[in-house]
Amino acid sequence: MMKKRMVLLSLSLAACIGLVAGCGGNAENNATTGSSGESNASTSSGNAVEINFQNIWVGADSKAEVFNQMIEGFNTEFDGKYKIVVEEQTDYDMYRDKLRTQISTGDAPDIFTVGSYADLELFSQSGKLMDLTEFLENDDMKSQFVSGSVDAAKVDGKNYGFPYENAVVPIMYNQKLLTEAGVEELPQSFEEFFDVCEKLKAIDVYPTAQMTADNAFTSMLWYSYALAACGGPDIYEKGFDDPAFVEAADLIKRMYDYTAPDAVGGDATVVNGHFFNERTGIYTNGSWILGRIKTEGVEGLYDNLVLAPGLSYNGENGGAYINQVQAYFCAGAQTDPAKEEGIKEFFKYICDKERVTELANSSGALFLIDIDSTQLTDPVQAELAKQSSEATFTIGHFQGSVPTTVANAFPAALESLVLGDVDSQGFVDMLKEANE
Amino acid sequence: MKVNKEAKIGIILFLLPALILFIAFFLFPVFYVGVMSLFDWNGISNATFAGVENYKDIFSDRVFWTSIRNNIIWAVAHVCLQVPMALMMALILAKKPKFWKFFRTVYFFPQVISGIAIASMWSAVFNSEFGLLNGLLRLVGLDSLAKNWLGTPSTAFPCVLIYGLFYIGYYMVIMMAGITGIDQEYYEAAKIDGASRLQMDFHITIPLIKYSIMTCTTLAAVFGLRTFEQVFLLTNGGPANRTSVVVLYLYNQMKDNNYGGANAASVMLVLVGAVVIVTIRKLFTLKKD
Amino acid sequence: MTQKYTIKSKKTLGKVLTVVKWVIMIFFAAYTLFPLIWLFITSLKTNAEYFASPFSLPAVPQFSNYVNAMVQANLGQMIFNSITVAVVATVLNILVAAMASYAISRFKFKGREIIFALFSAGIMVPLNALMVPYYTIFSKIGLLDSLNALRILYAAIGIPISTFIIRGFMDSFPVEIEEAAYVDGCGFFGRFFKIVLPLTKTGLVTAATFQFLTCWNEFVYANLLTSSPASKTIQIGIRYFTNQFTTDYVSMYAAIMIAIVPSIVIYMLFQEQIISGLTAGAVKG
Repeated sequence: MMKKRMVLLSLSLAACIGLVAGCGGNAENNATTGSSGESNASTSSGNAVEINFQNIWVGADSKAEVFNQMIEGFNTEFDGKYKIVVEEQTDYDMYRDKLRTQISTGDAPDIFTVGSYADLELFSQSGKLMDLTEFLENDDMKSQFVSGSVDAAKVDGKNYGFPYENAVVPIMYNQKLLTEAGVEELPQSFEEFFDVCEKLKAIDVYPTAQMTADNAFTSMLWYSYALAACGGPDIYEKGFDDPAFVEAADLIKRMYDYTAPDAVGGDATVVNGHFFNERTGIYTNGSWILGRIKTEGVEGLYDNLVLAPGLSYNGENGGAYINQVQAYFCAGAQTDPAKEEGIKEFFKYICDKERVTELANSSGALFLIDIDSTQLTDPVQAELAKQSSEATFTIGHFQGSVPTTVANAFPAALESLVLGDVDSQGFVDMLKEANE
Repeated sequence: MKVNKEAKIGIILFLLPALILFIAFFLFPVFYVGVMSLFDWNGISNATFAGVENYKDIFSDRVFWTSIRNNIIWAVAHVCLQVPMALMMALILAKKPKFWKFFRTVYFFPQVISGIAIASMWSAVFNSEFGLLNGLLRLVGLDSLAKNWLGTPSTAFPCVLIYGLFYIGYYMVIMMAGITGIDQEYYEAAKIDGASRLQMDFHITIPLIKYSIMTCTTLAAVFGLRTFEQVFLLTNGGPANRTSVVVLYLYNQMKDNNYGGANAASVMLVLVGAVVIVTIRKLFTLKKD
Repeated sequence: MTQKYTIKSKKTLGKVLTVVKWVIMIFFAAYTLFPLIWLFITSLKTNAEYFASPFSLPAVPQFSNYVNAMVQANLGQMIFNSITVAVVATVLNILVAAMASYAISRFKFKGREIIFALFSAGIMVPLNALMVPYYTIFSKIGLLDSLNALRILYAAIGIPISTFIIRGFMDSFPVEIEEAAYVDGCGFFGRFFKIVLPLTKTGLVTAATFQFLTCWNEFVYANLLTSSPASKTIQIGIRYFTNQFTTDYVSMYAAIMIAIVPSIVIYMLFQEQIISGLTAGAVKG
């Protein structure tokens, strides 16, 4: 028996050594082919100045196609001089983590975008961002932007970034469902709004779509509209002690009486699913969703869409529009003047009004580049741009206007409010606590 | 084994690679995290010394304690339910019933599928509107039980916890590997003594795969304590932080640009884990003596 | 009479047990197959169908989702990268962990339990909190944007679990065989290669299975440490369809389906190794 075992042992030993040796050989081969492949990829550009760009507008993003054409166009126009090398960033949370890690441990990427003023402020503290103030004050740059938007992006009086994409957020109604419910006129006030909700409920439609998962995005937008109605255009400057925060919480809590049962814990998939499939009558989201309503909504939904500005409350503050900078462009501070020049050339290139018009038309998104809104080809998008420009006042959304910690505390506070753990004052207290 | 001179050199040589990697990628980073847990830092600007303030902050945070409680329940459930189930399935499959290779492969599938897909599916199962669970309940006339499973405080945590308990592939693989190492002679002898299959399981197999069971128990406890993905993808801690876990908590601290708090929570996690691991090892080695 | 009765009841008990066994086995199989089947069906739907109802069948199977996944996200290159990363990291990791386990398991020396306890505690370390130190390390040694960074990192982060599993297996086989070899003049290294490694093959393969999956499924550091398209891995490919505000779910599911195939193949191959261990043990002397 022992003999047989020893034979088996030596057999498996041989197999094992073979395995290890074989794998070891493979390992070496793989390692060398892998790394040579990598170095090939990064040195194939001749003597043009390479500029790294962390691009989030890739893959399934609606701006991906035309924006990438823009980059191609730039690379062709400045062939041999500058070359934009794109690093594709898809998972947005991870992108933010990576950006922060890079900036805190080493250098900022050459070109990147940030999604909120709070992040722009945070990264500006690092001292690793390029000061773009003078560059943006030049006439040819200044005239590209919607007036005031560049100044609003200043941190301590300096521009470490400029605003680019603008989230314009309408309230959207499904006209077909409103008609079925016997609603003849769009509500102008929150009081009328709840009457409409009642009517929609009567025909077994969920009046509004709410969600609390992730950043509770659509509910956060509703809360922003409620805040605009209760507190007016400068509500965010008034601080959390202003009674409008509590009043708006009352309103959002009431909206949860008029929503689908899966709102608590629901995410964007749930909310979009309801509106796209006509289970919900009233919805709010940024303009980028229009393209998806067209392709993923039930037939006819896009044509049934009616857009409207914010509602009034107690007869005040109606007609507001939520506008929030959705992407700021920033650049890493450079020691090489040629590279700095290249970055600025690229910024000029992408701020060109004609190019941005094309980008807007292809994606449904809107920008803080001052384009001629009559050139927007999609009627819904054009209507949106028009309504927003005619609004009694525009206001940022809650998430983009409060400190990061407060924005992050919002979903859990909202859930506590809706589940009855706290009342409206308690909800505001939770936000305050996050603000320290 | 006796340690002679050759063995002495051998031990050092054999430990060295693991130690180098461990020091570089565990000891040094954890040390760094430990030091930084004493600083107030937003991830970008200069850190300022804060002493034990970060610890005080997380200890006075209700959500931190909810997270700890959830993690403990999680670890206990994994140890007391998942490991025994895995053991049972390993014992069944080791006897090579029909199609056993098929079963062994299938049981492991959830380990292979990306967590994103599994979480999306379960969140759809638990959804109140078009969810499968409510659909089934309505089908058998239990409409009154139908609810928004992940949005209701009383059911959210059980739902997030339970669905993964039946994914036993990981531990089953370890135990099956343990069983294959058992000398067949033990079974031959037992057969001659007229032992039943169940008796053989209890008197031969289970005692002989003690180390595999210990490995699984420890891993189950540790995985329970550091659960993240399941919660992050399914409820993100909601509703109202009721399903939060410690790793999610520290992730959220990082999102809040509060690196001090995140690092303090990391240190707590490692400490609790070390205690649990050592305790389980002690328990199993005590039995031996 | 009584004896007959007990035998009969034993037989019925056996039958009941068999039925129970099969019910359990089938329950677990259905439960674990369910996600895969759902994933496959969903990957053939349109996004509109998925939003409308997540458990329905597609009206027309959309095989274009797979084409979309392969072409748009360039999955081919990514799968290749992931394979080379996972294979190298696994081999490296298992070799290093097996060597350490051998020293810890088979020899009594000062500090061995401390080393083992330290290694074990490593399992608890929340790796996501280590982005800053890991990024710093690889930036200092100039390995950013290189697959070698991932190979080294993955080999390292798997050490606690692999050591833990392999030591468990090494502890469980008796010293006598080794001692016999020792008497026969087999030294420290000889015993490792000739006796310990072959005998703990099942443990090595088990640890390797998990290590491979860890490498295959890791995302955070794959994204943090690489940047050029030539060094992206499969998990980045899967997330190619998730953007800031939109997710192309069906293409993502198709990408996930594609990404599953290599890991299932590896799992089955590795498990075959364990069975051959079983047959080896089953040979009667």
